[in-house]
Amino acid sequence: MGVKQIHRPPQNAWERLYVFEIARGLGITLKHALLSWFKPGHMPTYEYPEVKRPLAERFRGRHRIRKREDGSPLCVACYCCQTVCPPQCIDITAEESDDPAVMKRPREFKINLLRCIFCGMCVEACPRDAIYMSHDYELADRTREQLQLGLDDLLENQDNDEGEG
Amino acid sequence: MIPEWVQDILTSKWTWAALALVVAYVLTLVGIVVYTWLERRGAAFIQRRPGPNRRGPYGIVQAVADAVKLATKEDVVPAGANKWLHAVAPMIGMTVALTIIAVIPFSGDFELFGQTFRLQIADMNFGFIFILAISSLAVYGVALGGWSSNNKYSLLGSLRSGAQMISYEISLGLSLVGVLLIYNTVKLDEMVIAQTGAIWHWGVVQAPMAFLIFLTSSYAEANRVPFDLVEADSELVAGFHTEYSSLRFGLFYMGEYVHMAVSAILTVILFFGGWHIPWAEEIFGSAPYVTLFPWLLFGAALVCLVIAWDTSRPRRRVHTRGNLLLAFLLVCVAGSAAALGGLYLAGDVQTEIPWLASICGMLTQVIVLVLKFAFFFWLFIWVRWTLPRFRYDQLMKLGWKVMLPLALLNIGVTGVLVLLGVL
Amino acid sequence: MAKLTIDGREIEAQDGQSVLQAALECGIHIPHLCYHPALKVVGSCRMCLIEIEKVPKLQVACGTPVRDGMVVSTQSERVRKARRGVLEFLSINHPLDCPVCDQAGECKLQDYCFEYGQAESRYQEDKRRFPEQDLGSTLVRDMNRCIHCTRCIRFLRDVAGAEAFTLYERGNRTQVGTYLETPVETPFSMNLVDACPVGALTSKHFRFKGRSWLMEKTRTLCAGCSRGCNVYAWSQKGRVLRLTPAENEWVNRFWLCDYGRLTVNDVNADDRLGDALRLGDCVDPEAALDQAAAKLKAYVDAGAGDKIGVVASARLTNEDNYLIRKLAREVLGTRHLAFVEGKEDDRPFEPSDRPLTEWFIREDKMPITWGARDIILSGEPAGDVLGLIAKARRGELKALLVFGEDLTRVTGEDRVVEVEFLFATGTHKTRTVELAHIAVPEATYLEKGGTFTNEEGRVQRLRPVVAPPGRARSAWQTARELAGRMGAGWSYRATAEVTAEIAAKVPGYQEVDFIEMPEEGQMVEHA
Repeated sequence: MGVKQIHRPPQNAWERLYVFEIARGLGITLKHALLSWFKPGHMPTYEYPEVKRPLAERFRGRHRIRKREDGSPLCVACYCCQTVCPPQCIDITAEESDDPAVMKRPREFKINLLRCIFCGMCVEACPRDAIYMSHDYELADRTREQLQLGLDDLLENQDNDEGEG
Repeated sequence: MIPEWVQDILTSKWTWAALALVVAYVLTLVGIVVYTWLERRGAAFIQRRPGPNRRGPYGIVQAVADAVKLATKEDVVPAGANKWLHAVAPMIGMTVALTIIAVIPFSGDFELFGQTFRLQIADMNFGFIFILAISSLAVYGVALGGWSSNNKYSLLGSLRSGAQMISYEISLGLSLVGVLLIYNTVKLDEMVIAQTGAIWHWGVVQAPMAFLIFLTSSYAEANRVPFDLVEADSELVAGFHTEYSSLRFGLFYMGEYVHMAVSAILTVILFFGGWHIPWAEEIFGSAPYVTLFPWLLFGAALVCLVIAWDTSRPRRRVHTRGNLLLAFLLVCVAGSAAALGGLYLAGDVQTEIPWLASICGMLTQVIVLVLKFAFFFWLFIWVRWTLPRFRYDQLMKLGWKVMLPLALLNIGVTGVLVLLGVL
Repeated sequence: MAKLTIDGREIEAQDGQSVLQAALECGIHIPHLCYHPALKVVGSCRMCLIEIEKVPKLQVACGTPVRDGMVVSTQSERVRKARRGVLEFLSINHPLDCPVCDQAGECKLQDYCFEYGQAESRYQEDKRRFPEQDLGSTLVRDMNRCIHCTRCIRFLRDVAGAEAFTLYERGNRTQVGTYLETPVETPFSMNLVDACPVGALTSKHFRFKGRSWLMEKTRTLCAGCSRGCNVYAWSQKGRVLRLTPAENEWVNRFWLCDYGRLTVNDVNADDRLGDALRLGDCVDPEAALDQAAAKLKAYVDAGAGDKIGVVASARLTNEDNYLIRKLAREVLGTRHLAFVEGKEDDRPFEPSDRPLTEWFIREDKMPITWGARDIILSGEPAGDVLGLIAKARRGELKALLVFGEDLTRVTGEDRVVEVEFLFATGTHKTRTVELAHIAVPEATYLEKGGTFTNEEGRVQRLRPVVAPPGRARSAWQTARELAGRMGAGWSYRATAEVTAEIAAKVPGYQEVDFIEMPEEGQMVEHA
């Protein structure tokens, strides 16, 4: 292990007295305190539950699956997202679709949100742009089971949010 | 004019001792609610964030919530701890800090029906020595707390703290010797009286070096930043109170604030003229505080109105409506205060009811003291969020190699100056 | 022998080989679609174009015989450009539906497009479209994906002996399939799925069940008949999804019959036995074995060991049968040991160029009839199963142990023998298992390791593909548990230990080595 020598700038006699430097420091903090007091609107804090931080357009929240015009999932169960998913939190079961134009559709589409790392690779991999990540990030729940998303969960609340597509 | 029994009560020595006790307890125990709130919001404001602002107006009820939380926590006594000492240790710190309050005068002498009183719990003629004697006991609370926890970090923390408190105790005591030389008394009330009049009678002007040493040492005594090595979390977890939870931890926590409060009052008493306003006699005549009282009331009314106006506004950032009820109550308080002030002026209380005027003058002094105290308490917080923590070797170096020689030098110089009659 | 240079590498090839074969043999991959080692060469896909020195035009590698001194380039700019052109033509009408195509991941067209093709199509016009076509019970045809390589046609005509497929219509409308949509009626129809280099022919059985890259591929054996075909079992999440043939020149070449492929349905059936049964009620297998062993020990201790009948099976592995025999002979001390065997098949076994229908599927539907004879008989006489049952019915047997067999299937009656104590192991909830006093679950051939000896006398290795359901285990393990509880002190921990003992004890099996067994198996002498 190498030793790193840190050279501190030399202090002059005034600085070595500390008292005045401390006073200067107090002045700086007081300036901030007074600013906070009289201009609270300039604080960078978001008062969270009431005020939500505006999200970046590319923010990656929980997943959703787009629908076709008839309400069925746009997903064709190609397993690309399941394949690419680094923590392997996606589990698809495919079946034959009734619609001859569609061929294949997911019978089950499970996402284990507890395992998901929200990397967005599934979105990247999707050849149909069916899966996307919404802006929904308030994902706390009471049981583990409630955080296992099924196809129905992924299809609901489409209009509430727009996410990365 | 007033009933005999009222007069009896007013002229009883116990009445005023009891009132002093009330003031003392308000400033320490009840004050903790405000202090913790002040600490947290002060820290937040210095760091440009809102801090606790949810419970109660300006978040002031947060401290109560904290207290309830602490009180309902499980009281853990670690295995292998000395149960008795573990229980007693937090009480020692608290008791010591509270005991010091006994000798602090909160007002000057005032006359009632021909007798003289002072707002002080125990008027000892060795008050100053008492403070030094008692405050040195505080180290026991810390040392025993750490030792009885059966935890190496606690022990290390308490040893550090013990060493620190003893080291700075010396500088603290020596710095005050200079003050003693100047005031030529050990009674606190006499010290305050010595600071009457022009601002250069104040201890801080007369003995600035003693003031600096005293202030620094009192920070170290109270284990506050920049000398809070006891609870250097990164090195010692939480120092001597690592193994404390629930109300026992709460006692340590409160003890620290009481300690700070006592230090702040002492600073005011010793160096900042106590309850005195500089040149008060010159400006307001022979009984300045009695004259000032109604104006104090008007000032309080104004403050209430400002707060009422502020609380009545909707909080845009948290989407809450204004607290109209609180604003209304505050307006009522302001109105009452203003009315009382008006009555006081119109009634010419000073000549008509001299005993009431005396009491009002005394109250004014208490309030002046409290306002000065408030600044020094804020200084504690202010310094905490400004300065970083000392390293242990730096702490010891400062204590023994800087503070101690300076304090000794200060005694010598002061003594010479006193001998020469300069001071 | 001809010496030629491919991509600067000097290689030797046999006369008469094509350049493609020679290249593939020495590990140089020349892209090809219509070429299949077992099929006749047509050179229709033009994918394997190569540049030969002193030959002005590019040549197809599959149709060009090697010649001494030939200098071939498979990666020159000219060749790569040609490949890109061929792929562009092939892709003109090929839909971009890899995400829903079962072939994706094992599709040659996909691989080559990835490696040599261009990312964007220049084709502006509409692609041709055909509806999906149902080709009988096993196949679905998607003509859109077809590249007209005619591997399916050649397989059916030249290998399977069923001239079912043909090219019909012309030009852009060319289709491959059965004329007039007649279903494909051949027991080898699912080989078409493997033969098709793209996803034009897909299996109804496997359709949409999984994706090739997500499945695990294990080389093991088919237990459908006494041929002992080498297969790859493709499993995912503890379930075998399909079987595909693994190449073995001496056993099954490149093929696997539909019957064999569908044996996987039995393994995945809902009526698999996962827990032990006592008179039809579920019990803990350990407790069940305790009880059975106590019961059997009581017979042995009372000197009635010879009144216990043991039924082994040619459906089990050599290891299973060996320990069953050892249990019967050494622990129980009974002479009444029989095993269920398959039918005789007097047709020649060796793979030949005659149509598959004439030789491939064996009449003997048991995988190790011959192995069981080698191991269970070991030169000693043993009665047949029907004889044993007859004895039991005459009351000459007090207990009967049945391993891995349903006796009702053997007798053709809906009743099993009425004996004092009937112990059975079973893979499924069969009548025998239901009627047994104690039944314990048994692993199927995809769930256990071991060896099979096929009709020809070839010992091949069976590998566990998935875990058995519940607490099922191999018959040899059940035999070991019974023997252990009866105080025999056997110490077999792994299949290989049993195999080693077989090699040591069974005549003709000296050379068998479980660990070091070559892929094509080891021949043994039938006793």
